[in-house]
Amino acid sequence: MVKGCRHGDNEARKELYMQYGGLMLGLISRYISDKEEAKDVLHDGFIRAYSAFIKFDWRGEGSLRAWLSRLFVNMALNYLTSSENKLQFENIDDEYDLVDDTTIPHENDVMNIPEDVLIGFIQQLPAGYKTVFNLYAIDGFSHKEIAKLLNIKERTSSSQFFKAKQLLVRKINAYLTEK
Amino acid sequence: MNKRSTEEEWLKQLRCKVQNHEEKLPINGWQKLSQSLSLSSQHVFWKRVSRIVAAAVIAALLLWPFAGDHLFKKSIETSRQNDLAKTPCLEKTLSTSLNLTSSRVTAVVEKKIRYRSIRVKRAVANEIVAAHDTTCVEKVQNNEESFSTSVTNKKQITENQNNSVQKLVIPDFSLSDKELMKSYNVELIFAMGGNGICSNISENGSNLVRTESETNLSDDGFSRNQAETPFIGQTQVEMRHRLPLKMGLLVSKRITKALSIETGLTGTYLLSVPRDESLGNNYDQRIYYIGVPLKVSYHFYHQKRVSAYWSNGVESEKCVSAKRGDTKLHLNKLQWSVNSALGMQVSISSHIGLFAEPGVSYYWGNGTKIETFRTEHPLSIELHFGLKLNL
Repeated sequence: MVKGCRHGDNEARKELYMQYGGLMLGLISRYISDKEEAKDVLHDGFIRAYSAFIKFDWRGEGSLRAWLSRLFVNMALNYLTSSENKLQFENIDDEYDLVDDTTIPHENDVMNIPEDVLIGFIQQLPAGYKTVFNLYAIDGFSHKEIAKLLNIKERTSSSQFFKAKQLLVRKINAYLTEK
Repeated sequence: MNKRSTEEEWLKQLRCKVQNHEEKLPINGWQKLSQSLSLSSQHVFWKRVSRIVAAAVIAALLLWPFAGDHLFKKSIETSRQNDLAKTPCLEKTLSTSLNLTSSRVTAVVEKKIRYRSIRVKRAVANEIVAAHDTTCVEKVQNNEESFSTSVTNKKQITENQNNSVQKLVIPDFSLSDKELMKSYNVELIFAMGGNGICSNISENGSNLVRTESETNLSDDGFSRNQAETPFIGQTQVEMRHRLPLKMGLLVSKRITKALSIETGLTGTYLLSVPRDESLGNNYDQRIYYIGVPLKVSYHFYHQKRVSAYWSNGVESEKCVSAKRGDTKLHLNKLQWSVNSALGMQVSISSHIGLFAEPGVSYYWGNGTKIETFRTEHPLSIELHFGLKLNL
């Protein structure tokens, strides 16, 4: 399939789309709440992926998924950092704001929460918190890398993540309490 | 268990659940994608063609000073021979009846070709007559018959001279080589972009198809120029790009007999408007460039008032203003282009001429996702025309 995509074979490209399209759309949805916008970004992302396939090196199981994930994260960030959709990062310098007053949920509790509910909680976060949280906690970027990507300070990145975590924990706890 | 490890565990669990989350693909998603791909493959083909043409233009620009002089020398020889052939009557008359050596005749005729001003030509004609007269006097002293023949021939030559002198009265406004090398040309140019030879936009005129250059992605698939990438407009707003307009003031100087070099300042205006006129001026995109061109021209034809030349050049332009409606756009990268044109100039007087230069230009990307006429038609036909002043 990789060879076929490199040579522009339509069947190989279709196979790639069908195999990874759902996963990539799920990834984009974590960053972009609007479904139509997410679909547009998916479309553009695959066009870019096919044209850049010549640069992809197969390095074993998972390398293709990792490469596609980084590409689609980049597409989502390009969308979010465009001037019409400018990401807002709250200025969290006040010590009071950073006090951790939440009860951390147990991992087993989190395991019992349905996937789409967790995705919903993440999507409900403010755009700045959501982006940093996704990049750090889910997609594995360091605060230094996030600061470079989003053109913010490293401290801003870590404080945004902290606030995102707080909000998420509150939502999870509220959900568990309701259940 | 401490708080930190508990925190990490729940985050790990969250990550595992969310990382593999899949959404349902849109209906007809693949159909739309394959349509876009077939269009973009056409664009890639034309992009390759335009790159090959651009490379050929650059190669011509680099190799031509060496080829140009060689061709110019040949053309001088050819024109010299043609001129000699054009004066058979005079040559024959001189060589046969006056017993002038052929080398002397050739020298005289070449003198005639070299000096193009009316005054000098007359002087040469007088010289020929004087040479003839001297020979005639000698013949009269030796032989009466040859004297009478010479007199007849003298009349013939005089008639020929008169004819040729009359012909020489037509002004051609051309300068001598010395004057040419010393002079400067100042040009006021106007230019319009023409039909694009290759297009990067689908027939639907949609901005949804983005044919990003592969070099925009680093090895791991990440773009490193996010900070420089401005927003390019709502995907649902389709833009129509008007023909670019350019004006400039250029100065050119001859560096050899056939070659001249030219530079100056140009200003270009790029306008894009929404296809949907009901949107008004809110999405009108106006971009202004200031440019510095550098051109080398090879002058291969000159006849009295008309001359022709072939020019190749590069231009570097800097964006000085870019707006879409009230929103400022950022075009920080220099806009580079190469061009090749065939020019023709008609002299109105010795100092003023009109010129036209139809040619081909290739524009490299502007380093952003902003779409303009130039990103849509990187390889296009342009027409430059204007006024040339010789100082």
